[in-house]
Amino acid sequence: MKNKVYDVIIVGGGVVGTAIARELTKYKLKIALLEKNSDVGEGTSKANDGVVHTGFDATPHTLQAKLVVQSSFIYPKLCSELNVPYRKVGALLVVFEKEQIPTILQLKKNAEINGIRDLNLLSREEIFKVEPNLNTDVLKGLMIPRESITCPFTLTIAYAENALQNGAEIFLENQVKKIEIIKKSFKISTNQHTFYSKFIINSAGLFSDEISMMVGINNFRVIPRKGEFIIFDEETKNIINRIILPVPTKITKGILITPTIHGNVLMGPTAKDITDKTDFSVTREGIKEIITKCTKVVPILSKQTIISQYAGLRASTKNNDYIIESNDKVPRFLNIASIRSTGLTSSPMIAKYAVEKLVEMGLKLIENKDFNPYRELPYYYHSQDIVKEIKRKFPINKKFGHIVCRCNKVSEQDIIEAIHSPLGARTLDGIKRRTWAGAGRCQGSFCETRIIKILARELGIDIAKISRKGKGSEIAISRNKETLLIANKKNKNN
Amino acid sequence: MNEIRINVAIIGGGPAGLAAAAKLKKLGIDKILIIDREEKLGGILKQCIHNGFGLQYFKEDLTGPEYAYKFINKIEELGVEYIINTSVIDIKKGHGYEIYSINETHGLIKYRARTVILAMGCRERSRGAILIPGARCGGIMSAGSAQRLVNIMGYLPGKKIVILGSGDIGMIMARRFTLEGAEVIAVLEILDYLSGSKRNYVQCIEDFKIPIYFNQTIYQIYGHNRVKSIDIAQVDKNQNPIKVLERKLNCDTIIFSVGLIPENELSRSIGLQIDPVTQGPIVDEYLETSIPGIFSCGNVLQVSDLVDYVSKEGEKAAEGVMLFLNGNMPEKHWGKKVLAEGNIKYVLPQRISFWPNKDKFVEFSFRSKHPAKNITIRVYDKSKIIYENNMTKIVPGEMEKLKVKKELLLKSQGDINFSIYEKE
Repeated sequence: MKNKVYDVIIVGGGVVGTAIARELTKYKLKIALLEKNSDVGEGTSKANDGVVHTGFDATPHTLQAKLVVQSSFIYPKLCSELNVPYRKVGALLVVFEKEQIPTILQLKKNAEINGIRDLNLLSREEIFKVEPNLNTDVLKGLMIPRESITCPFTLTIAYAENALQNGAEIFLENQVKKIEIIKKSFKISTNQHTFYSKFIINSAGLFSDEISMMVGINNFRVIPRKGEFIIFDEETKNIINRIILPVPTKITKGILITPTIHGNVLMGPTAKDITDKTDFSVTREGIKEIITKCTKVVPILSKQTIISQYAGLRASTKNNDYIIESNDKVPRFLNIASIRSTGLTSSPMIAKYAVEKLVEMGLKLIENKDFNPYRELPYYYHSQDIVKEIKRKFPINKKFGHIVCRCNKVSEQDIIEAIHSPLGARTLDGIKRRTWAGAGRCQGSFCETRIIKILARELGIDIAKISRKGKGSEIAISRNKETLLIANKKNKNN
Repeated sequence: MNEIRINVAIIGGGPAGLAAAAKLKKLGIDKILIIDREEKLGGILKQCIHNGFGLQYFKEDLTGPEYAYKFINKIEELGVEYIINTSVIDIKKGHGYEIYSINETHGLIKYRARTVILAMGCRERSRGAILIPGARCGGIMSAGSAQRLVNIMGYLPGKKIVILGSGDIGMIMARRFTLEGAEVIAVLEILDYLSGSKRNYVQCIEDFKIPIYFNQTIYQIYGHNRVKSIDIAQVDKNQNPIKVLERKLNCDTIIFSVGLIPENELSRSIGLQIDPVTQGPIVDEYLETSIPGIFSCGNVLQVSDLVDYVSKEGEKAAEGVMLFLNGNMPEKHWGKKVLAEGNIKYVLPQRISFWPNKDKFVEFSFRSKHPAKNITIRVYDKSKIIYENNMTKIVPGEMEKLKVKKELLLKSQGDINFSIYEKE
């Protein structure tokens, strides 16, 4: 590949990086997004709870409060443009201790300062009318009607696909190793290529401090804060009707119980500062904490079927607010850091804010009149309404009638479409996040081997090269007896 | 959407569905259709290339595919219709049953059936369901998935393997991996006894000198992209870890063989009553469910150790369907309850309707909750013992069968209880 020269390079393809890529395609610019993983959204964004916050509890007058609140208002339009599932389910913050009542009154005031005036207090009786499965010890509730849910994977992928459609370039499996400042531009070396760019946006999330240090800016450090989740079988979906929130503390919003856009119930996240930025493991303590806390709020959950657990890492810093700033030492380099857990919500406004910052830093914007904000509903996407889906898709291709994932009714053609989409899926996780195949109650035990066969066939590679989430996580390591044959050969040679 | 009218819809073309179909045809029932979601009939038997099938039913030692083909050939000969690569997505009541299916040829198809036999089999319990903490990375797979990978696709999932659970598929895969060139470094069982059968233990574990440890489980999984190592813990009687025995035992693959779950989503969606213990529909002696005209057999009803039992169950359901279609219905559907007490984990059938026919016996299947020796199985009602049977031992990993005279059951008062008495 020849050396590539860009106006803006975005380092990090999480929900924030992809949102910025899309925002920048509204202007006549040459843009590239570099992502070290085999797919976008593979870092912090993949393990979000899917809640679109209103910002009612954000600390007033912070950048975070401003961007979250503004974003929450543009979300419905954004999701309809990008064809991303979105549902305004509302949230109910519940109080079990008398001492906490002043806190919720304070939260209501806080919300008003942030410009959110539709919160209302609920009595016990009113709570049970809307959420009959809550613990009867509940004292009071605070209803936040506009809190919503979306799909964090779909949104990140949709941003990326729409950015690609509007001319941005995305380079996956490109880990930035070195950034050099050469005259009026940056030379960026990845494990694969060399790129040149006038501007850099650092949205590398957990690794944003390391990227920043490559240009000599050393004023923050990312502390990964682990959040673990437990997800229930679909049959649990009617147990709660809206997001059930605990009273937040200074450190965390606390462990919530939420319906997911895919029809499950999710509990989490925990909040624990750790040191390893690659440690996405689920812990015994975490599982215990979630179950203890959540079954106290909704006791009936203790009898429900759990299908999976996962953990995410928030990219937090010692700074209590977002860090979106340039540094005089290094012109044309913008850091976006300390976004923690609200990045999914605030991504549309962070993107706009980042562009404003770039303009301040000297970027000239010329409107791209060809910009198309709409992402057509991809054929790989499917709702739970299988009859509706088959009617929509079967006339296009008969393979939509061949179901591969039996739990979520994902067809062979859905999988093929995901592989051949603009930002094609290459791994089992990539297929899962686009089609929801393997995310159901059997957790892939039926469809996994079938999907790797389809992936291998469509990509023209050996089955032993197909992985769960990129190199090193292959599902099959070799043909049968291959290891035996190699060992025998070695013995003979000796 | 066109509607195709049939007498019997059999959902699932595995051993239960195939046996039911063959029997129905022999009983003179026509317009039978087997609907199967896979590209070939035979269900899970297709990937069970080991032997040991059919010893009871055929008095022959067969492999899974051989066993399946005995039935597939039979239904081909008899001219039973079947449709493959077709997934049933919904069953609705109304003038019989409407069965909505999807396939590549027709898109959405609707069948209207007078009766339905549910024979969907089961799925595997996943790691997520049993809350094993640690890394979520490559190298973690269920035993059935691994079996398909190795036996059908010809690929190995890893070189250094730990198997969690001593279920039959887990033990069989331990042997298979060894034969294919991988090293099975441990089979861990959380209980203090085998989950699977003694026969599989001898033929797969003992004969291949594979280390097996009881009262142990995986405490933690380590690895980033792929499994690197695990911690193993000893558990107490309640299966809670009490002591970490081994830290960072190196392995590259973990295979979960931690139980099978009857796949009853369709059954639930039509509103069948489900037994919380078997996780299959509650049925009577002809395997009729809570909704008249819907029958259930095979692993979707109760997880069996032997495919021979599954075939027999399919045939039983077929007899029920025939009686139903001929209008020989019981006077009182589900008249009598059968209850499991004490060390009996479950009894099937859970109800008796006393179908009008010549049968002299009702055959019950049951399992114990925990192993016991020198026992008496006692069947009784509120006033008297109906039947007793002595056994030298009972283990949860092996399903037991018991025939009781129908006449005795007819005379009983109120519910019928099953219990185990241990002698001194």
